[in-house]
Amino acid sequence: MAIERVRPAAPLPAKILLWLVLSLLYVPILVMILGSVLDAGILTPKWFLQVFDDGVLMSALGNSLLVALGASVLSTFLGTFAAIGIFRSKSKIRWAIEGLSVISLIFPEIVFALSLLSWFFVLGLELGLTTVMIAHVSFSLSYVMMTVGARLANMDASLEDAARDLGAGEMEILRSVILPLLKPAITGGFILSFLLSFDDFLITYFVNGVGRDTLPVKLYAAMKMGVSPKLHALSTMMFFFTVALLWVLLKSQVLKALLDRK
Amino acid sequence: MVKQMLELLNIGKSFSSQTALKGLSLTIKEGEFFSLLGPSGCGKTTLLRIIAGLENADHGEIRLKGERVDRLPAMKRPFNMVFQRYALFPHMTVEQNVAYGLKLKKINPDEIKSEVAKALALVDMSSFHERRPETLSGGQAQRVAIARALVNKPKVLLLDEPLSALDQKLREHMQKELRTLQRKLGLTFVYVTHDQDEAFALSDRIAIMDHGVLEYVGSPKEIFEVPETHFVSTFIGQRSHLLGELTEVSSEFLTLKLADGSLVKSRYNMPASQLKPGMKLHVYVRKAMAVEAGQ
Amino acid sequence: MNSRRSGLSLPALFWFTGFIFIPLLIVLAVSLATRGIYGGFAWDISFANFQRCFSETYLGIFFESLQVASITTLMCAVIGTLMAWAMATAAPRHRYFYVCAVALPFLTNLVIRIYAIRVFVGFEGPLQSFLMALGIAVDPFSFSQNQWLVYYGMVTTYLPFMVLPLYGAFEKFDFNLVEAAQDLGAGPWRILFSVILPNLKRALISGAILVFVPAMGEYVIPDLLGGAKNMLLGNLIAEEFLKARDWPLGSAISILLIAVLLLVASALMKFGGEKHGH
Repeated sequence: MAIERVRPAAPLPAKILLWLVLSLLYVPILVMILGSVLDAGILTPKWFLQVFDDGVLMSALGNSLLVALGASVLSTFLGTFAAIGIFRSKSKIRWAIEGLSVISLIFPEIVFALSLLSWFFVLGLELGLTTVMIAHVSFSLSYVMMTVGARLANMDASLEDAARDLGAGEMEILRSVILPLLKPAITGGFILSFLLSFDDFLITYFVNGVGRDTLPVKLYAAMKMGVSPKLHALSTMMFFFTVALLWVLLKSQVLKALLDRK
Repeated sequence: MVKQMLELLNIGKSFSSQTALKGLSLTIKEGEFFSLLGPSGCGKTTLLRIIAGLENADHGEIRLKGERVDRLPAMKRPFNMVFQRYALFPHMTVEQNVAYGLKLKKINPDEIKSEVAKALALVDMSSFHERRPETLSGGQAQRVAIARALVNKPKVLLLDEPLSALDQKLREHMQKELRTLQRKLGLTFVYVTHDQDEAFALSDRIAIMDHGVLEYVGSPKEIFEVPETHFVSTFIGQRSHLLGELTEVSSEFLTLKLADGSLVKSRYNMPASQLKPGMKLHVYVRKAMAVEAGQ
Repeated sequence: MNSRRSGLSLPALFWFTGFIFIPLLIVLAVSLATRGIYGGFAWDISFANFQRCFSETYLGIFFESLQVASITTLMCAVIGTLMAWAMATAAPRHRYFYVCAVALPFLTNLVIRIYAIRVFVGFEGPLQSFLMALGIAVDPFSFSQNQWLVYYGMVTTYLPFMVLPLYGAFEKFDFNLVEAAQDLGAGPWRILFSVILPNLKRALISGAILVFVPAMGEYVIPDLLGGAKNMLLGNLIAEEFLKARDWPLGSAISILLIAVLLLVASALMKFGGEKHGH
């Protein structure tokens, strides 16, 4: 970690650019949020009420939450054990997992979307929320692995040695030393997977088949037909939901624990 | 013939391209304070970890009173280790830390409680039961680590540079405590350090290592008087040897009267309880220079 | 000792193999198949689909995507470096805020962000009103979908992937070098090029890969901000799959895309792995 002394300042254009870009990033969002609470210049909750009244949207919300929950539970489980399993390992398994993990992180989403679509077709699986969940686990696994892996890397190596020296076997070390210390990272990974799943559009669009849409898919379909205050409200809701979860993630011990060495 | 406490026979270990230990053999006597001394990279920590069972040697045997232990996993060996950075479990209290090894042996909870209390009393940490490791100072944490190891009644205590993270004054204090503790328990200690002063102060015998090879084994006196190899003599450094009678001792200084009547007053690193005025002492001091003030 | 623990990662390995690796193999297989009559495909193996990829329209789209991805990467690199520099040299407590501000959009829904852009620049939206108030003549319809918007969307979406690694590199950077250079009389731009950039090389390469590779296959942004006239590879592939139902052709295009991406990524990594000659 860099020493916290004052660093020589960057030239002014760089600072201006920073603020310009941040504005360009956030102004449209702020505009949208404003549009969701105003009707002809008057503050009103009516657009939000319209969203809540819309049964189709609400059921899409339910689908999103269901898929996100299922996908993140599975993803956290697999990813945590994967991170523990490959940590400091020199085996071929590690090489394979890391390689596939990088691929899943970098390749364009569309490639995964259509590869999964084809695979599900070949397998004869019916497209629906289950296939969506499978797809979501596949891309969020790497994120969980990274989150847990980062905490593992920061963990004092001699703790395991001490446990072993005191008589603990592999399973016991896992149970009494490693997992308790990983709790913040596991929670962080879970929330991250949840967000990634909840916010996913493209892959979901490809593999969810007909009928049970998630919220991002519904939003997209509606967007194709134009902008409207009701959509502003829907978007704002989804935006704040994400922000809220991130707030929870940050404010809880999670991030602090991730960054501390121990 | 009396069985030696701990025998290391022809221990060899390589890590990928480097050879850490080259066919090393050692014998350690029961009740001895034995140190492994050498510069970093000499393999002393590796050797200690091999004894503990945290690493496996490529070849060689380890015998405890004649019985082979090198085939046993770490958890089954009757040794315990004190780590350089204490390695206290941060998510457990002091009491839970010390009790960890006992819990694994499925000893009944009441007995665990009393053993833990005894161990903490031994290191003067009785009032720290409920504290968390992050609230402890370096010296306190180290004592808890020692208690955690000792409570399991190991046959040999292994210490990996346990005092190197402490500041000078605290280190000297802890050295005396360790020595006292060892004498009191009569337990065999194997101690790793790169600090010669420390090794000389604490040990009955020292093994000097360099690049995976044993350079010399002997008592501090022997090493000082007969530095057999070039390495040993350069590593040990220049010292003056004085012989005299102890005339005064305080908590910080002792006064030694030399044969020619001159008095030397210096700090010392033996436990005070062993110093009695009138006793004859060998004193090894680093070269001292007398320079006029102002230069 | 560790071999038993490696076993813990096996379930994840199976998952990755089953749902990342094998599907890609399937795509390869399908690219060699022939389109079935009612959609789906039949296993008549040929390279016909690959040949079709080299038609003028398709190649046009490919180069278009290449251009968009490259320009986006370049812009992100330039803007990102300057931003990360400003961020890393801000007061320590502000840095945290900046990092969160940059990272937040990345974690929110892409469709929402693009929607927000549409709202902002769109028909009778605030940007148009603002410009009109300044007296600038504006054709209201031209703003909703065009190439500039695509770039706006791409750069704002992909910036975090460049800024965050660069910021990380700045954090590890020894600012003494900058002070030394200032001491010797170098101006800020000189410092940037001769002192800072060489040390950022690795971060720039990672950032470039993280931006370029996904950008080549981007679907949502060109679809919502670019309209029918600005079709990129991602849209083309999606169309073949979802509208034309020509899976073999779509797969073939994807395979070629993957091949190009692997090439570019390894070229970039080789370039980044060079040790400094001086």
